[in-house]
Amino acid sequence: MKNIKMKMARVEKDLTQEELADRINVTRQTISLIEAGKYNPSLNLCVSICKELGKTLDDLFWEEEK
Amino acid sequence: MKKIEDERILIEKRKINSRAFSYVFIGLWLILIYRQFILEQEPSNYWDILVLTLGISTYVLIRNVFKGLYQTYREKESKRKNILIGGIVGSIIFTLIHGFFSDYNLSSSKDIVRILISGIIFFITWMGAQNYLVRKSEKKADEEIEE
Repeated sequence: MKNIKMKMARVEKDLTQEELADRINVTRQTISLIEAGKYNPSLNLCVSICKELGKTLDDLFWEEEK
Repeated sequence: MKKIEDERILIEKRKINSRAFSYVFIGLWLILIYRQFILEQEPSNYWDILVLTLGISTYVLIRNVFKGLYQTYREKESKRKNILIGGIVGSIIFTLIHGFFSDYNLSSSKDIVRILISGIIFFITWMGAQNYLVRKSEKKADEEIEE
């Protein structure tokens, strides 16, 4: 499932995938795959992304049950 | 902020290396089988590959046992089934190879009984060894758990 919340948070911060990737020391492909829902990041990586985007884990990675 | 490594790249690289290792590992066993049973070479002609293959196999087994990963992730029933199927298949292969590639006379009932007894001994030894390894691995896995 696509991670729209993470993409929105990144855009809010006016960051490109490349810039976010550089800040947390991963490749642009990794960010792209996480946003596309094709890669499940570890908790460590999730925390790094959250800190960089100024969000909590709930904000970016918690899925409400429908 | 502390920089992290790109885990996706590390995981992908490990997957590639692991896949390559699996191919080499299977290749080594196939080479051994080919040399022993098709070319009918003496072990002295391929001892280097034999030592390497058995060494790697032993390493993989011991590391799994001591890391508490040997069958421990399976459910009890599935574990039993897996060990039993492994034992039965292994014993059948052993008995067939033993029967066809050793100097037994397959028309002699005495030799057939000998082959069957060797198969049963193999099965019992296999099950005993598996039981020991699983218990050891379970003990190791429990050591890692913090209350």
